[in-house]
Amino acid sequence: MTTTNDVRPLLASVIRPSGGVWSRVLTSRQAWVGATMLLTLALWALVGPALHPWDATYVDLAAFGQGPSTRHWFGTNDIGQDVYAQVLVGLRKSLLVGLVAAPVATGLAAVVGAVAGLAGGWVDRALMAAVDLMLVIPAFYLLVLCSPVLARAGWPALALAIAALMWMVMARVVRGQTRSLRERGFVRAACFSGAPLWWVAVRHVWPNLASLLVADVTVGVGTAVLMEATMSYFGIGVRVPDVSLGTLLAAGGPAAATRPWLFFFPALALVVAVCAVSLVGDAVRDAIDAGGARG
Amino acid sequence: MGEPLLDVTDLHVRFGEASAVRGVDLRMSPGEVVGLVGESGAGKSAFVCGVVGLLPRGATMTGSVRLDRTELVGLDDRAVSALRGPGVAMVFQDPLSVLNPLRRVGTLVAEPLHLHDRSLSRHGAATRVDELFHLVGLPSGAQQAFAHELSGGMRQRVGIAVAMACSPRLLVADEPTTSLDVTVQAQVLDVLDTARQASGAGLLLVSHDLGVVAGWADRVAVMYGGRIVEQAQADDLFASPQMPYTTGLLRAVPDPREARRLVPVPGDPPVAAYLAPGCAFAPRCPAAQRRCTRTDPPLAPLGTDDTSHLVACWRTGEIGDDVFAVPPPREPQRPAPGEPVLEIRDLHVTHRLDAGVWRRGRRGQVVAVDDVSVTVRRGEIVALVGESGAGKTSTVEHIFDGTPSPGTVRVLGQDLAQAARPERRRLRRTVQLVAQDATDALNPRMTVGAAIAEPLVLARVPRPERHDRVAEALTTVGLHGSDATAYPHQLSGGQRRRVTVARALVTNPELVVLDEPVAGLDVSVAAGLLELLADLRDTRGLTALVVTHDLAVVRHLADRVAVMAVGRLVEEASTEALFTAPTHPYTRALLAAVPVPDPTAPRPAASFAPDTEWTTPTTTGCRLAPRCPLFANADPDQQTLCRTQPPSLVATHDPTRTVACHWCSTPPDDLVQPPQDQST
Repeated sequence: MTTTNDVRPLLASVIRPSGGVWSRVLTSRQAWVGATMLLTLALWALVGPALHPWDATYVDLAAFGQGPSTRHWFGTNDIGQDVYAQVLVGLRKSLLVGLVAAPVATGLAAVVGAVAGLAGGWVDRALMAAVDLMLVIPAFYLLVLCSPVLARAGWPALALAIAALMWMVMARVVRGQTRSLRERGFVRAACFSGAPLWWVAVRHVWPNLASLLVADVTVGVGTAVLMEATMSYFGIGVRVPDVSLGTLLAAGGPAAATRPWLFFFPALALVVAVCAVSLVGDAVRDAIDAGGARG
Repeated sequence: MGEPLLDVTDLHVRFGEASAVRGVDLRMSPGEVVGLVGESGAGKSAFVCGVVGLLPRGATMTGSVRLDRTELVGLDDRAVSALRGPGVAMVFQDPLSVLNPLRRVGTLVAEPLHLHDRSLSRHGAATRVDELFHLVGLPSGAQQAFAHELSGGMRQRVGIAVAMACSPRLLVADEPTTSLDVTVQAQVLDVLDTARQASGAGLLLVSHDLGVVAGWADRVAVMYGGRIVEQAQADDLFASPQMPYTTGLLRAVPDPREARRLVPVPGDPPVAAYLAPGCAFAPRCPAAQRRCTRTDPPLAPLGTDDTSHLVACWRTGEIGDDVFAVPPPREPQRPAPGEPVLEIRDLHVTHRLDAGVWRRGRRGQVVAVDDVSVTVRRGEIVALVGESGAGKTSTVEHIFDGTPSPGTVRVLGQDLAQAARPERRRLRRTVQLVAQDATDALNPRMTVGAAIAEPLVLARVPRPERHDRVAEALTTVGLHGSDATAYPHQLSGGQRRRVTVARALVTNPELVVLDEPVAGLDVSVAAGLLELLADLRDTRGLTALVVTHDLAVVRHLADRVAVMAVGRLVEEASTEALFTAPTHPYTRALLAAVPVPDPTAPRPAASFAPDTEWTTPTTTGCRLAPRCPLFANADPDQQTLCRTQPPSLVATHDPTRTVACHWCSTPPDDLVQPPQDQST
């Protein structure tokens, strides 16, 4: 057995197949740029307010609706609140909601889709009926119903609520892909070897749908942030005195032509944040694709 | 040799940086059949497309291709189009992808007629189409069919009719029978030859199968790495190959007439983009010298007086016949087969045909397996042989997926349907499947090591032991331990196939089911895999059920053969007995149709009627009757019996043989019994 001992270290790295993916992510320039942007934004949103003289809720009676100046870098709104401080606080909230909601939604879609696709039969029909039901019930109506609960539970509940509205379409896509994967030789081989459903999902289905799922998370962050904005605009999301990029955009939108700083700075923050997430997402997807066959 | 029909000189085809064809010279006389042989990546397809003018955009072609003195290189597309049809026509590998599914095949055959002769009347075209259908042996009623309604053999006949429509001077057939069953293959090649003779066209027959080429070509050119490496009269080439690659190919091809050992050519065929300087075969050649790796040898005549045999090798004359010497025959000390590992009894499998996407429910059902019994004993290799649609795969899949069907499957003496769930799972694990398509059977996102380890993880084998066994399985199948970190797409086709074998062996199963073990592999690579399986049989006492349509593989590997046709077993016998004296007419037809890599061997005569009739198999009686020569020559009483009563497997003089036929089994006197009534 001398020959077998030689290959042991190699094999040790093999049985954990995800090892290679992360090393590829770390060598990708795109990933570094995206991650740097995202971390900078997060750090900025986290510690920025502490280094800034103005509080997001403080009303400067000497400056109503003024443009950017050395005193208020991003200007002030109609009641004299500092836009820079508000963007920082809003960015923090929006990033939190987006970064939590999107992976939760995709994860839910991946689980439901894979289970439905693999199990088939009545499980499949029940889960897909649930998906269809969620799709036809007006999401907004649900949220209005839930808004008292959401108001009490704070932003994590808001993130989960947004996730609960985003997963259905992806679940259908995952189910469809899973059903075609189920006919592939390697899935059948695993089933013949007595692999349980979760094993097939984790080892065979999800890795082969990785680029799809990563893309969905990436898109989802942007969608979630925008959804949060919509909800906040109607008063069932983040509430006064709390701010998010959504409430800022909603408030600044009408004034975009006359007092552009109210709209421009929150929008810029949103665009930069979504770009950063996309860069990281693309890099992760490319790393996963390089591991398997291309095409 | 008069004026050549086709004169190719110094043809180069490049796809960007990669040279697919690197200086090919080939001449063909009118009416000549030239076989072009080569493995994948040899440049056959690029060469053929160059000759026919069908190279894809982005390919550049230099050199000269003259067809009847017309230079094709540099000709514009319109001019080449005018020439395609009356000048040169092509028969493609996959007729289904070439025939427009929305139009009746009759109009498809008429299409080139109208394109090349605008003045042709509708009536004139119809007459010509009738002629063509007659020529390729199709009933004229088939003109009304759509491509998907025809069998593979009939489709290829239509493909030939389309190619012959304008009476081309040169007919190019690119792997015309690769996707067809052996019995159909012989018929289609016959049709091709008839068509050629009728029109006096030259035929360029491209194939990877030396057997096909040997039976039909006057002259053979062997291609490797984008060049012709040897070219000679067929008899000459097969009798005394000069280039080591040709020798290797011939030694690697299993011969259905004898159970000679195969000699695999080491390594893999070259990739056009990564060709090193020197002879393309040098990396795999046992006789390679330093000279061979520096400069490419020219294609030169073998002797000064003999200009018909051309060889591209620096060492012509220096090396003898022993480049790929055939090792002495195996003389394994194999114990007699032990207790049954797998017993399939009276299995019936039916597939449901669903009515459609919208209406749930059945439209009907197809009987895929009808009353099949197979037993595999410990230490023996049993082959299940039959053409596509015979029900082989349905039989095998039933062992694994276990949907309830009439009949029993016993593993190690225990009925799978009766066993409790954990017990059933344990029993199933003792049977491992090596799937036909290795690319499909390996997860592209899993390393080879992880794929092989998977069944061990599922069987809860502890991690340290797992590593040892994965490494051991890799060495067993002739791979390196370092291959464990590779992903499937980084391996060659042959290596991937070995990985699937390793995956099956790693759990030390009682039985391995091999589904078409060498289908789709290059000859030189297939030989390696077959030798590996034979080694496993002799050294480890491999117990296996081999499912295949390739009888040459069977002869090389199996102890016992069960022949299946249209869902039923027709004959079962020991390999030796079956090959030396086939009894059932279907078995005889199957054996006769296997192409033999020897031009002096008699050409396969099609003894079974071609399936060019739209006959649905009769549900009562013998399903082979419509195609059976015995049935055709039988008197009416006998025909009634064949038509009404299905023959069952009965014993014969040879204790190892059973045959299902009313008229060809000659059972011992004490076993004679009238065919029993069976209500169906």
